[in-house]
Amino acid sequence: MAWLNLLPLAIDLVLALTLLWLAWRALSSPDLFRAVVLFIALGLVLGLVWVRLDAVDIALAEIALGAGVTGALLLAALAKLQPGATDSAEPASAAEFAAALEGDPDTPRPALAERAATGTAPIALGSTLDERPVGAAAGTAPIALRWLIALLLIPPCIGLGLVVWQLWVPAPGLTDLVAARLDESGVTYPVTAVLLNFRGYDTLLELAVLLLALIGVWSLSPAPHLDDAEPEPALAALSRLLAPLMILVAAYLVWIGAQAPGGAFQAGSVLGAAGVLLRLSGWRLSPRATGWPLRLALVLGVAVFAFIGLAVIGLGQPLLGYPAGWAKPAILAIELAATLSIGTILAALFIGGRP
Amino acid sequence: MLVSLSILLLLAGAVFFLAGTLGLLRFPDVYTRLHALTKADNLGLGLIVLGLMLQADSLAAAGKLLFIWLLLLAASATAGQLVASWAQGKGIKPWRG
Amino acid sequence: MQSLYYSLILFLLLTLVAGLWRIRRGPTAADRMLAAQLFGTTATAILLLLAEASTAPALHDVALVLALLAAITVTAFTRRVRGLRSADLGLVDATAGKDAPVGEADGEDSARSRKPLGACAGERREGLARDASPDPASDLASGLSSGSANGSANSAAGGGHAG
Repeated sequence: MAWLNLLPLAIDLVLALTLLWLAWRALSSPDLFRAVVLFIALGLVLGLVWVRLDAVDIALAEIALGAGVTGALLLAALAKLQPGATDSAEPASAAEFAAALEGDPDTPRPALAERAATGTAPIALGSTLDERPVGAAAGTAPIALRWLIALLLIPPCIGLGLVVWQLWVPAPGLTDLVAARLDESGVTYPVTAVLLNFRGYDTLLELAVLLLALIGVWSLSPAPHLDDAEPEPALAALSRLLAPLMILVAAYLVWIGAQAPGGAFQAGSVLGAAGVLLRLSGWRLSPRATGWPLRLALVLGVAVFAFIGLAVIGLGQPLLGYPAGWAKPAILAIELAATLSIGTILAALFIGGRP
Repeated sequence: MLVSLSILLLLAGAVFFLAGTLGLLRFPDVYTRLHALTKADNLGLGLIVLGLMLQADSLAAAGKLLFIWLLLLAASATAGQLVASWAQGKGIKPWRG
Repeated sequence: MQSLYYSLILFLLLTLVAGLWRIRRGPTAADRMLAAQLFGTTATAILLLLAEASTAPALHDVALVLALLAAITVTAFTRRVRGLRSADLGLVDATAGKDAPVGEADGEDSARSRKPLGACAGERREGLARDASPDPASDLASGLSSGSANGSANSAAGGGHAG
């Protein structure tokens, strides 16, 4: 039964091919809504790929963001760009619907049929020239040029593959170094130790970048007025059920991050998704809470991290060098503050404008 | 004994997933596809979770698996209702005949 | 047992790939969203099986997060269309009808929102009030400015969808 050993390889192969195909179709799809849905599917498959590559923390973050905030953000952005986007793909009458059932549902496609008949339908290069994507300029490059570029790209791709193939020895990386110093780091999981202790500076700057992104979004426009009269009872019930559970799971992820995959960023993503769900279910932040409490929650992560990083200088340590024995409480404080901040920032990014 | 029961449940779950996907691909309109989808969510995942629960290391792990299934049940039920009411609001007629 | 898990994973993965066809084909947008929803469920099952096959209990947490967030994409799809329409249609009526409860609701909300910072994230979130829209005057202004581009198109199309 030697073929049983090939099963994991087959799984990886299917995942890799699906990933490539999804990425290509998401970029080349003429219909923006379809591209968004393909992108969401791409996020899910990418999460599975991270799992197969043994990077569970990244898989957690990818799935929490891809299934949560990113999907909602893209759909909301699409709604602003094309208010009638979902209408255009639908048949307007029963007759068109019946026709769609039998044949090709994408009705404006006669040109593709006749080009397929003449044998010049682009195989590798995808979709039609007739359904123009929104915002694209008229006139694409001729078929011959595109085939030439594809042929020219094949040797570099093969060369790259050969180079990567030669690298197929387990590279030591920094695993040994981290394992040697793990006891002093305050946590027992190497990824968290690297993120919040050994390379804490990078994490601090990442939090700052997230905050800057929000400031950029806020500088563009005030928050849109989405006044829904009443959410459906099913959605209201679901949000009442899920939002507290999401908070609980976020707290769990922060806590477990010290021993197993988890951590502040993943927990913050789940909190952000909770904010998105609440927003979509019609909850509104009271006007008093959008003043300084909201701003405090937003800057808390960077503030606590920077404060601790600078305060240890007064104790004779380098920047962000936790004193001996203080690493665990410092990391816990930073992670809690960062989780709150990341969740609030992501939810505010979804809402999309200053309050 | 437990192992063979677990294997049976896992295979049954996979069959329901296949049924759900086939329904999604072959059924004639949104409402019927929704119906097929929820079968995959409820029964497919439910049987797989049940099969895995029998193999779980501890009660806590089994409880976590059950929790995952219940969450997905709630989510897919609400998603089904939302999509169906959206489709009805758009005037999509159910398939007749 | 191991090989059973892996073969089930491969099988589920192939059904996932088969479901992609519905994204390409689905006449309505809802069909595409349904396919995405199915992917979420299939990916959860795959994650649970992978957790057993490669004995990585951390994958249970990944499946938990996926199950928790499964409904959000569909909700975002369904709600945003409705949200836009009612915002463009009922701008004046909606804000006028919501003026009354703002007064009483605000008192306790502000008290709750001024919790000490030591409170955990859970209590922070409970401070979100379920109440009327914020300041009606600024809402009107912001709603008009953000909705004006879509307003004419949508109110014309949405007139028939007032129900």
